[in-house]
Amino acid sequence: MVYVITGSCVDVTDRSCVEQCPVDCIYEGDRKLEIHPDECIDCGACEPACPVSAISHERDLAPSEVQYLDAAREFFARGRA
Amino acid sequence: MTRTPASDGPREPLCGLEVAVVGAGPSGVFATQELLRTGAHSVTVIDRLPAPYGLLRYGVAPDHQQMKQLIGSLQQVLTDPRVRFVGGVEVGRDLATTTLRERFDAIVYAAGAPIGRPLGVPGEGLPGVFTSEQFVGWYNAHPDHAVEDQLLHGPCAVVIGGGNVALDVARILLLDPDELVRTDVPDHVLASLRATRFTDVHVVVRRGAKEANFTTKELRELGELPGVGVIVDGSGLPDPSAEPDTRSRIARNLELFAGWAAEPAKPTRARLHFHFGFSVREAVGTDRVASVRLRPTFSETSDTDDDLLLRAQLLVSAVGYRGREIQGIPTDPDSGIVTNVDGRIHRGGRVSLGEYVVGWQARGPSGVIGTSKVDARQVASHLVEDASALRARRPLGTARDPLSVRGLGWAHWERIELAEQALGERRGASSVKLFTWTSLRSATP
Repeated sequence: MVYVITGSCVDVTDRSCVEQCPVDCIYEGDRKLEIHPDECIDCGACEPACPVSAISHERDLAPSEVQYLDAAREFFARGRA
Repeated sequence: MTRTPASDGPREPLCGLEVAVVGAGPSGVFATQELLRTGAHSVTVIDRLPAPYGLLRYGVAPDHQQMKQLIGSLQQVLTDPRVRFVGGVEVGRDLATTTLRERFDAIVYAAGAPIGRPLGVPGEGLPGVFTSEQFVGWYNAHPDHAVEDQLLHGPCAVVIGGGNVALDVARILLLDPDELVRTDVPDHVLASLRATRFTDVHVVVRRGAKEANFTTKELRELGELPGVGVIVDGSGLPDPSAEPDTRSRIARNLELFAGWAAEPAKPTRARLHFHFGFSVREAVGTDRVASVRLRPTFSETSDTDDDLLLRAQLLVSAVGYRGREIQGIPTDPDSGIVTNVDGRIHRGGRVSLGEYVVGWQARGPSGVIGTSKVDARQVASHLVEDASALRARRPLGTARDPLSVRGLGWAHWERIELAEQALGERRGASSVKLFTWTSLRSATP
């Protein structure tokens, strides 16, 4: 189980979450930040840090938001060049 | 990293400084990590326990193995060649803070907030009443709280508190003990949990469902325990859709509570009850706790008509923590927070050069593990700023002598790990913790 950054982060990328993550698993994505699903330890430190409530536990994703977890997996699978 | 020209002094701002970090928990290790990134060449990390990792080892619940992955990153820092781990040394008791100041240029306090707050109600001294420090310490094998005899009595328990610690305690009491076989809990903890099956665990929150500090994930976990029903009175619950941010933690928690309240009762092996707006008044019993008296928190009158008497053979208070005062360090006696401004320790109203504090010892016990990273960055930048003053303060012609601070080192901790792995093998677990001071000091079961 992991945390996921949803669409509210797009073009906001406030980065407060990056400061909080104890395992440094939040990376700069295309237009938003991305949590690496294999590195996230499910601690929840990032969730309250987000000023736009963009971070959700994967279990809390609305059906329309599940795409963001898939997108994160795809983003890291293709390498962060 | 930005480097200053060689002519301006040392290339690395922290070069040549001897730094001590007091506490090998997340806040201490994050501070160490940040100091190394800033160019520190020598950091001595001192802990009162022979084992590192603080709350990760002794606070995080045994069934939350994913969180423990963080141990890997902390281990990387503690095994860095520039870092020396000194375990089994309590600063302020075994080692005076004045001695520490003689041997190090800078000291970062990161001793956390380990002391569980008591309830302060009659009957608290009865057997069967514990603070979360004692209870969590017991199941997590903290050597200060080892009780090998049967500790638990059931079948009913009351847990006081509106935070994740209360949820951890409730979950440990309610889950199937077989779930813990593969974790690192000691055998006697497993035996005690197996011998006492709880049918009813009551979580009592002083304020409302909205004010509770539960994390949604932890709350949801309770509802998913096999064979456990969650019972909430829906009549007083705030409407989740009235929340300004319906994606917030509070809104999600309220949705969970509303869902449980709406569920028709069905027969289950055990029940978890939430009581909001109640405060504990008294633990009742003769030779041990038998029931707990609650009263509505905001009751205007002193009459006892609205009191709730819950049958309970176990009462755990999870109402917060405070720091352990270190002798020689200015500390608020109530909160245990070290007197500081933005992480610089103050003495007599002025900054005390070379003394810093991070984590819960600086701020009090709030935030999940990870919140201390911000403190770590702050303290590293303070040290960079203070570096030349710290160098100038050194008595001329003398060298700091960090190696004179001795204790149980990293090699000893590795022996403890080996002993724990051997214990784990018998049970199919990757390790089972040693739980007494003697066993930790000798690294043998």
